[in-house]
Amino acid sequence: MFKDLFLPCLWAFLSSLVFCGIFNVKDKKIILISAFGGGLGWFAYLISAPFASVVMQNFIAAITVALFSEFMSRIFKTPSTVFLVIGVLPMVPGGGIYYTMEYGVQGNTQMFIEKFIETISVAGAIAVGVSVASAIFRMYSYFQTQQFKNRENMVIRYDRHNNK
Amino acid sequence: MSATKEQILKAACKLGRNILENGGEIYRVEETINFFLEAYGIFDAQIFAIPATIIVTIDEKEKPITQVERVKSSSLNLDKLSKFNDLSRRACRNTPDIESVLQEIEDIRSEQPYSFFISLMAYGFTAFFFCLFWKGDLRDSLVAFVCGLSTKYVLEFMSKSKTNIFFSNALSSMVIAYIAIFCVNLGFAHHYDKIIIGAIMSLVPGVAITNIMRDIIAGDIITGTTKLAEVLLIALAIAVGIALAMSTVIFFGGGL
Repeated sequence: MFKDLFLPCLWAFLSSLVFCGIFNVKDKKIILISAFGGGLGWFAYLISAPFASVVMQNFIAAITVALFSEFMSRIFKTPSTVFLVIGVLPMVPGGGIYYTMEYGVQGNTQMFIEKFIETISVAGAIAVGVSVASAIFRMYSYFQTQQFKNRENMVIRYDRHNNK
Repeated sequence: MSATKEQILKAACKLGRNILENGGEIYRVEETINFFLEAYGIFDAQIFAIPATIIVTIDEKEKPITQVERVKSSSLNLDKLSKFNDLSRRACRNTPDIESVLQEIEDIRSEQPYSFFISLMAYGFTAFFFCLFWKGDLRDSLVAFVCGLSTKYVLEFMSKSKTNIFFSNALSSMVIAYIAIFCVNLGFAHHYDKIIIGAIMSLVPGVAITNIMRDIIAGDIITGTTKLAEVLLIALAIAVGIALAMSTVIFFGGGL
């Protein structure tokens, strides 16, 4: 349990943490939070393993990371890209590119095509997951501001009613 | 308000340019310029941005004013990106005079990125932890650490000699593959595939993959296609670099 579930998340967290040095993130709080996003995304990936294919796992993990980064960008007043770019890193199909190339060099065409399609679908799943989540979040924040406006109007009406 | 429309336009373009150069999305650039101009009282501006260019026209009665910004290179600097974003928020809320905005843009521009040593260590430890993440053992990860250091040196050298993105990625992944294969053949590590995967993670275009669909859904189809081409180019470069290294080892050494 520890070795299969928590250790990969720890490695994902640490690799996202040091990647902040490559992307020039300097605020320590933001480094920690965005690295936590990387660990969280991989946790979602592993948790969804029993009932989803590899592509769906990446999709779910990407949605998780994107929602997390939208929330954090509202809290810390930082562009959501900062959290998103770092949180998605553990899912990026580096292994897919490598194995596709290796089967290509070996001349194993069947496995080459299989890995190639898997790599492209994983990349697509990440891209679609991220955009779906940000679209959901835009809708949510739109409705929230609408509700807020309604409430404000109601308060004003209430005040007028009581001659304040 | 003493600032002329030209000055306001100049400041808005500078702000947009810096956000684009430090890795901001296209819709963020366009929105920033739009909000900035509106905050200073210029409405119905025409703004068009793609990763290489920003064009802004403000419509005056007698003569429209246009400014074009050509953006040659962009690199991801998330610290500067969030600082420019913060600056544009503050400028839109308080509308300080244009001189102080321009001064602040210059101040943020002149901030130094991380020193060479810290960035070297970041590349090394990224490779180290990603190798562990892809289920390599400790000795593999140590070799991956060395590969990560070599990546930084190669990229630094290539950026000094101003070669293109394809060649620099191909060369760095080739060096990675040589180091990994030789260390495995000398018996120091066990899995060359895991070392290579861990080390190429700092080259793989994860940022562009994340942003393709966001750009396309936001309506910037040109930007999305440009980024798709970039992703395919870099992935191909990495694959070509490793394949070259592997096939030379197979050819001259008689097997991996």
